Amino acid sequence: MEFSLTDEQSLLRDSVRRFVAEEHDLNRQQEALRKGSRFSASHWNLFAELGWLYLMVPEAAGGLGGSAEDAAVIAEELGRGLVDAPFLSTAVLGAELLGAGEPTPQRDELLGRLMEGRCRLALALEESASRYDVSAISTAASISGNDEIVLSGQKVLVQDGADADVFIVSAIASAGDGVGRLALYVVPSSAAGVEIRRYRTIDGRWAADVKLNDVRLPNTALLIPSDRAREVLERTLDLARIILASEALGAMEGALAMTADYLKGRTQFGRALASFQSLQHRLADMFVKVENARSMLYRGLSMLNAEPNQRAAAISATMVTINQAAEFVGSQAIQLHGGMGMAEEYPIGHFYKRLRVIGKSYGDLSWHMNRYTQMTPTIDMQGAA
Amino acid sequence: MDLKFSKEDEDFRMMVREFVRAAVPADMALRTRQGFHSTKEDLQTWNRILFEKGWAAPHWPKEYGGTGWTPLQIYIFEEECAAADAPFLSYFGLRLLGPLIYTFGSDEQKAELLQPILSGETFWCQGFSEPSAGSDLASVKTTAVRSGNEWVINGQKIWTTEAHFADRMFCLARTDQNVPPQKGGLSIFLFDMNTPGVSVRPIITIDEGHSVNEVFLDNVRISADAVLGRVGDGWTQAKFLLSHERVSNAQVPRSKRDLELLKQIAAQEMAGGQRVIDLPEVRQRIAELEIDLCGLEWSVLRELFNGHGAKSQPIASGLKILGSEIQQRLSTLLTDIVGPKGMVLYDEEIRSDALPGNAPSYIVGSTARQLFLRAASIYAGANEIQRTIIAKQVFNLSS
Repeated sequence: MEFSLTDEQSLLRDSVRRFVAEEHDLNRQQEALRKGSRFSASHWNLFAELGWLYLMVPEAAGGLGGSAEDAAVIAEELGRGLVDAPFLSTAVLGAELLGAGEPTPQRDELLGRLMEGRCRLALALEESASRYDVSAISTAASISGNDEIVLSGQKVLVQDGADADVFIVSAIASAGDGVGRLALYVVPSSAAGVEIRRYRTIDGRWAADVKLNDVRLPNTALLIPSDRAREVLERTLDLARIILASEALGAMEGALAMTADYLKGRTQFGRALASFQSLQHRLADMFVKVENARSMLYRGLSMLNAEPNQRAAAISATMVTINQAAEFVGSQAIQLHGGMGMAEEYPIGHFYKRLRVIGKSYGDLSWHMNRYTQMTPTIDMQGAA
Repeated sequence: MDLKFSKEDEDFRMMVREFVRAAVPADMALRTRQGFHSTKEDLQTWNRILFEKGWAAPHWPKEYGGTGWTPLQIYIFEEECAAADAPFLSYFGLRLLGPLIYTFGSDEQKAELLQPILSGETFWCQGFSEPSAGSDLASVKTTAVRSGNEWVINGQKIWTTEAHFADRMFCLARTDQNVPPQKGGLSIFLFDMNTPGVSVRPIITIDEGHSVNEVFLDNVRISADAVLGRVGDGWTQAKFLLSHERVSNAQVPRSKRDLELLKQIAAQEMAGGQRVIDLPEVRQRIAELEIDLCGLEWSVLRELFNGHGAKSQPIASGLKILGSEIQQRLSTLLTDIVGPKGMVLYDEEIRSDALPGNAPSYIVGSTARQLFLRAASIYAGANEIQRTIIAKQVFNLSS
């Protein structure tokens, strides 16, 4: 066992830190977000130049075939800096799902554009009644007479969907036996019949509802067929959850550091706030929760390749811990800032808002708690007392 | 990063498991499961078994009788001992005084004192806490005054665990009233509990059990060389203990075993015709504990592999806070799982086949343990003290 970063991972972390320090101005980002602007194209190009978009693409398709640990290193630093880049949607979910598809020329071309920063992706799973259950959807895929795929349905809350060039869409493919099964499709946002409603989420990022009005696509639009779509999707979502956990951890540490600095700098009743024991102990509790969350992040990372039920239980255990810690640390960071914590122009509340969104991405606390209890057998009765 | 146990570690676990499971006598295992304060007989028996195997103090350096195992192997060993319901060996000699002696003691003290601790021949108690010095050790009032070839000790100790069957005490006392305790005014003395002037009075705790005591020291005369290491090093030595036992306060192996037993009991208890383990609220509380215990275990693993870097000391405080809270929650959940039977003590006296409330035998000990574990957030540095340590060391704050 070894918990420290490899040399390569340390270099990767340093390069993300440099980006955050030199290129990323939190205050300017907040102001830009209030005006409705998006993560800048020049910064996204920088992501491509630095190789971060190559990371999770399979080597056979020209990428680095990186590990979840590598992606977690990047996400943690992006979280600490509260960078609103669509890293997860494109460089993790997009790269993983495209990478899991058949190696067709179309797919390789798409991956090529992804790595060059010329194609942003967004995963369109959620529907108004699905609530994180990937099979509880009604978007349908059928085959037309001339061998085209026809998609119809309504996807909601597609994260990073407002600026996506390509959606990966889940739909129920009707099979010959009349039983529908989940499959994944690649849908250009410019395709005829795709109707996009763009809106902001509380973290200042841009999501979309995506309506598919009999969208007709060539049969190469089928990315993952129904015989393995469910399994690939579950595995990829568990990876995405862990990467989000890492981002949340960075955000928690960022919020905690900012809060400690604030308490040292602010004077009330003639003394630094940091000298009050009740506030010191709150910081200590936040620290304990953050460190515990990091331990669970590592446990989750170690279980990504376990068999599916074990993996699901472990990832949900990690997310329960992360979500509980995030709510505590994020809300107490505001509390310890007093009135300043409520000011939109001050960054601390934005950590909280990002953590709230992470806590509702690809599963929330109750979803993970339920999945955990379902995936852990009640009891092994051997050797009962 | 490499986040997996190695094949060697798993083989080691099997080797330890095979020995430990066969070595723990069944009646001793039952008593450990029940969770009453260990008897001297059980502690001695188990200590002797491990000593003969060479495993009594795996965490000691090899030259003093340790095993030379890696930190992870030591952890695996402790996990297997807990899983086999072996008693947790007496803390004070093996965990506290032993390391103090091989770190600070004279060559004579090493030669004379370590072996009997290892074999379980000599049991020690820790004379640190006093009526006005609990978490605040700098307030110790017990004095040691030099008189010719002797030290004369006067004072009172309290909450002294196992003093009623300990053979000897290591005792913190003021040796120089003119020097602050932190600056050389404290020393640690080693003496027999049957020295004239030492008297022990039991303190019965809220579980109606007897594990702690008051110890009165009334003109206790001991020889000049009965001081541990150098006179005036007491504060350094006491602080060493705080940093030495970084992960054992988390009590992960024991809590993992308790959780397993709790699930077995929840599967046998019935409520309104349903198994208690199938009640959604119980399932949720079990799941939350299981998840928190996983986090604690991985924090321990990180600590064993120095995965916390420079934050090691405050992490120890965090492990103590979380570990004690988990122990408390586990024991409370168990007494909730048994429903109204949780209102009866089921203490050591009640061991007949006909338990009050028509209770099954697995209930014996559960209520008492739940009550006693209220102490877990108080002893070994109250959790509030741990928070202050974290604030000081992580955020560089002082009070």
